[in-house]
Amino acid sequence: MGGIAIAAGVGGVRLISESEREASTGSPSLSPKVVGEVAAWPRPTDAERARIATLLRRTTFGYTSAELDAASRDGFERTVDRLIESRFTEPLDLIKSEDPTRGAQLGVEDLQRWWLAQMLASPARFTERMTYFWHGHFTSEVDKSGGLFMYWQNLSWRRMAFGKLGDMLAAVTVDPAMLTYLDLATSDASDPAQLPNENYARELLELFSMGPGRYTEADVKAAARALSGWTTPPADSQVEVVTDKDTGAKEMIDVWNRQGPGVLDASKTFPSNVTFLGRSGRLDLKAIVGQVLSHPDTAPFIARKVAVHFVSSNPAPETISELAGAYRRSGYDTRALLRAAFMSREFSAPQSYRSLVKSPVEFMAGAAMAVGLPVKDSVDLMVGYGDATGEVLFSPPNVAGWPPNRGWISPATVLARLNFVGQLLSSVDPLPAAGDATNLHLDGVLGPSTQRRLAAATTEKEHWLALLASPEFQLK
Amino acid sequence: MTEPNGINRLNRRDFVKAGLVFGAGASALAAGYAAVPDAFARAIYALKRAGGRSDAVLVMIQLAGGNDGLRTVIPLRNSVLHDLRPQLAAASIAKALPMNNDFGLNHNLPRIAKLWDRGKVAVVEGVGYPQPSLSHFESIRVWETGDPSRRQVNGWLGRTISRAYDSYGHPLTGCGCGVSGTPGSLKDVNSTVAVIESQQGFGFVDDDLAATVGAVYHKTPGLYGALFDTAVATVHQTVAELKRVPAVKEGDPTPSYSKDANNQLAAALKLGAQLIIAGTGVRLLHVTLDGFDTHQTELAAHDTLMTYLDEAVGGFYDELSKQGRASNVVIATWSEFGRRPEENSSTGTDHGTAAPLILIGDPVAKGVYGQTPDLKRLDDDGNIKYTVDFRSVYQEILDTHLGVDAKEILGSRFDRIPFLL
Repeated sequence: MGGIAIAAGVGGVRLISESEREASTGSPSLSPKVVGEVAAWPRPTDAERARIATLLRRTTFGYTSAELDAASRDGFERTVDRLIESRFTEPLDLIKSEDPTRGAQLGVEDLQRWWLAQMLASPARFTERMTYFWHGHFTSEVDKSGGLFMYWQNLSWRRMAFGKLGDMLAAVTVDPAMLTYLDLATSDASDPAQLPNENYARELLELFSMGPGRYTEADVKAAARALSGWTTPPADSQVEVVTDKDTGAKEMIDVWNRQGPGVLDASKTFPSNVTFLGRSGRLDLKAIVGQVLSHPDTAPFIARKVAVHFVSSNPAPETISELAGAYRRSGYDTRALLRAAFMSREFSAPQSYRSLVKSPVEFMAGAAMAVGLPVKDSVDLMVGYGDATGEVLFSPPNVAGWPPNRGWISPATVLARLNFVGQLLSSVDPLPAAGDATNLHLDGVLGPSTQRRLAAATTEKEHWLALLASPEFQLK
Repeated sequence: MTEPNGINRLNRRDFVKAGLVFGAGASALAAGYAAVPDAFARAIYALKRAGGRSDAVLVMIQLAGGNDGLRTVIPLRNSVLHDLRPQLAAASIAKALPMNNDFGLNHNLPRIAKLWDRGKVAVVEGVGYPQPSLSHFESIRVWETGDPSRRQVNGWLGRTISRAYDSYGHPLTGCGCGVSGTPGSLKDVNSTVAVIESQQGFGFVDDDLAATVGAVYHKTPGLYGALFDTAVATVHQTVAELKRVPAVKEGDPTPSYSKDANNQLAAALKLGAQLIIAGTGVRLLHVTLDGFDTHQTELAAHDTLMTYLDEAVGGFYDELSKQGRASNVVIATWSEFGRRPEENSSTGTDHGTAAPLILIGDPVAKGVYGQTPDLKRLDDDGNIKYTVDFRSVYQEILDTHLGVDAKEILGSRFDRIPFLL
């Protein structure tokens, strides 16, 4: 690997657009606002290796020197193919069959520990990374949906991580966690004079498929009516368990023997025709999903979301239409969309270098793996920093999930990330040799301040501190 | 450490007084504030120059998820409400705490009702905006930016900071308390805003880390360089400011305003009160109470939230009042929308539009303002037609309370609603 590239004062100057911070919600584009001139990152000495490292940073939760070497030997395109053909691996079962009541007692930390360990240790890292993407897109929340249903939902998104959008929209509509989270399970449309619950129908259109303003309020009402009746699956049994060891208090809890989708309660369905996105009739779930897929804004909306997570924080309109075209032509196949995203011109353009901000989970997992902290200790540390860094898995801030990129940066969240690094480095003794870490993790591309601090480092700890606490390591 | 003019020896309150004298001379103002030594002084200086009132504090409480206005400030004599809400209306009306013949406060707001009796509460009815969005996220953005046309990207309070306070920022002029992300209302590309989730957690875990970070986050290249550098500079300044704030000690008579640990608004406002009392220079505070998206089984959930609001606001006001710091503090609630007047089949309510806002504090002129919307004349979606533009409320806060020209911030003038003394 070549030497270190350092940003020169006001090297390549370019203007940045403020409108990108709206990228997460897919709001109508705003007129770009010039906020100032910024120095660009210098060009990496080995551009191809940096391109492949960028791909790994965006598709995994961390990588080793051997993994980067192997990917470099394969080349960019073969690595893309290998990633999107990632085999599905079923994670360790969180509920042992000998204790079926455990499901009802799963708490948010149980779920986090189970999943974080999976992210750090699974050989199918991109499958975990895509599960994580869908966790933020088709999002639900543990306090409202309960631990068991959230666990099931996570298993579903892993199985469908590279699936087709139509299958996912059908699955999410009858997913027990979502039925609970957005209230469809409680909606009753049997009396046309009474209003159905619109919560799910609105977000299906606004957040899960086509974006705000692409449909009418009448469409929301129609979908709410057509989908009413879907409710959570009935429990297989009820078991009495001790809920408080101190007092010996007992409670009857619902027990499900196996994962299952929601069920249709015919007594709550709407008894007549609706008109949804231009189609009239007795529309069922399949018909509603079909109408959503035939809407011209659905492919660009999902394409844009994928692009701001994997390509660039403010993707160009041409990139969106290219990705959307590939997506639609493939019958909304996630693999085709991802392949188009990674192979797009914009992914490899110089201005896309470090144009994405690592999420807290990506940042923390990558740092813990870099210094070789054992998985169990990494999980403990990461769970402790979820709230302060702004990302509590299974507990999104709201139904729009976590806003990416700029959304991760505030004084409080940046402080928490930095403190994580401080604590991480005092948890590993001895630290591994920092050696080539600057090239492995930062492609040797450094801003002037980081470069000075690294040059002044005299111990391994100082070296790792300057590297992992640097702004460079926050980006991907 | 050099101490030009002895300014660093003064505490903040002294400096406010000194600043008034200092700011009186036009020539001193013309000298420009670059010469003024610290960030706090620059903030005061900039404010004087802009003609603002230096000591006014605003606390915005976001009731996130869309608060049911008809269950917060309850119409007592509206038969239509019973028809629209067979499950939800009767009990709420019977238990309401009467404000006058027509309105009652939710029965879980006894301390706010007491403040009403003492003349410190105003209600503005029917607050909304034209062509309302029923999307949480779009409507939040409208309220945060103060722009229903959705072109503005900066927050209305962020613009206030950058225009009227200080472009380079005393970090605590604007502060999000009890959250980890920067509140949208306070965001502005030219303003620095502190975000403090909790006082205990705010600081570097060790000195090596602080030193490294201090050295590394300078002139960071790239798209996010300035954002990261500013965030870290704000952390350093805020850490220094917070050293002035006595931590919540064991045995503190009011360690929180609520016995319920889930009442995060109580914790956030406790932190806000500490920042105000310690004289950190905080002016525009933003706090959030989440959970108002009551699509189903609304009664129990909304009751709890009303209790949280009452405990937090009651405790906050009492503590400031006891410390002699309440006279210049205005508390204002906001929510992205109200809820649909007609209940749904899950004993809840769906997304609505206009709703009443509550303002509380010594500077508030008691009364019910605006025009109560007609529940017989709803819009095509069955929602309330707004009667007061939300920017009228912002305008009064800016003009009368903060002393900042509202037209500069909001772009035009709106009907005046005189809910401040």
